[in-house]
Amino acid sequence: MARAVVRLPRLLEPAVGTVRQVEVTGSTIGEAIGDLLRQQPTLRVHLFDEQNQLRPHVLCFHNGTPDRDVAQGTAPLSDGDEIVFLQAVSGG
Amino acid sequence: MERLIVGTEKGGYLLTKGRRSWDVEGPAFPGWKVSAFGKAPDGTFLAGLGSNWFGASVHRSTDYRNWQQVENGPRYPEESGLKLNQIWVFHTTGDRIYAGVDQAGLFYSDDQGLSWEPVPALNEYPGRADWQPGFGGLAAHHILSAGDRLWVGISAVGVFRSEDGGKTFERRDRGVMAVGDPDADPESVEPGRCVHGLVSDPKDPDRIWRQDHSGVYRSTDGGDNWERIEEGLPAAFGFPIGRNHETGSLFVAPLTADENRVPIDGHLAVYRSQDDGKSWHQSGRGWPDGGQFNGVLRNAMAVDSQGGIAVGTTGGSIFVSDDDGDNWGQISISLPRILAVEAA
Repeated sequence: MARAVVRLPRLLEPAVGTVRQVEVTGSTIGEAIGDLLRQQPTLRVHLFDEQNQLRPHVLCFHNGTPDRDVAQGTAPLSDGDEIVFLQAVSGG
Repeated sequence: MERLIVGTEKGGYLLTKGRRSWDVEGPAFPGWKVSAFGKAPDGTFLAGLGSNWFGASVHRSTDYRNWQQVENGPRYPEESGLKLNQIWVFHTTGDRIYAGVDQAGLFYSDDQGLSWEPVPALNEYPGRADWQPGFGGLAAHHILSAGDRLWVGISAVGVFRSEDGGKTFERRDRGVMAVGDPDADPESVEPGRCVHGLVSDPKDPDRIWRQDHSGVYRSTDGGDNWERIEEGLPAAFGFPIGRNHETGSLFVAPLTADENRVPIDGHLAVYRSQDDGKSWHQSGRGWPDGGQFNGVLRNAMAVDSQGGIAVGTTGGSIFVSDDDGDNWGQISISLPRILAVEAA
């Protein structure tokens, strides 16, 4: 099992309060996201839709690389990995 | 009205009437659309949030200041193919709370809003694949109730009535014009009736008033039949409709037309009927003398039974009356686009 860090945007404060980063564990990125949602269950509705797809205007980067399939992701997780969620530059 | 909770395109604001002005607290939920407020049977306050990025959620508070998101909010089953885009309305009846949402559907909570279950009879209504959204989305935005009877208004579809507490629903739009098709058979119950607002008489729930895309209507038989009631209105288009259940006064906020959704010639005003909708007149005094080109959205009118009425505009202004609409004053504030106003 590897340890990684998930970073969250400030806009998600209504869901998680002042939490900006969460330490997660797993052997794949999908397992890491599962751990994130166990620790912060209110995030699920904001990051993923009913079909468990990343919301269209939410971005996820795994070590700087965009990954839209994180919930089911089988990419291996390594110690020190960084998973970043951001809102897309859109809206008004 | 001594206190208002206001939902805007960018956060929620709590306004408290002071000696000379209104104190403003907020925003709660900075950056989020705050589209609905409600109250659970135990008095807990509810807020419905939406976001262009992060979906919709339900939040609870005991003081309007500290809010907690519920973990098991409304959520369509994965296999439905439907998505929850916005919470449009809360409606509490007895020990149950209903939430109307976009994509059009209904959810209920029997535990003060902590967890929510879908109402399959509406959410899986036959033919819903043919439902078309209005400009504001495919939204279940008004709920009325009386015992086991339930009415749900959906844009741009029509009004649905249940006689059995939500186990079954039937369309109730006879007499209402279809949107964009003035030649459509008014007896038809095809989708395309775009209800904007609903209010009923709690003493006689068969009496329902309706601000629709196509005009203002009244039913005296629980929605079986609708008749137009627009005498005295400068325009039939608008979004909210409210009622002071003590005096019976009705309130609407007319806009020029579907294709030009602004007050007529810049004259923003609420219109009032004091004869159950037979005739309408501008509500009282105190409106700006022109220059107003922002309207009132469907949830941005609050009416209580003590003579209080408040409306918020898409330009962020708020107008309040404490005497059943005889005299109006503008709160000195400019908020983001106002989506929802409630007496707090």
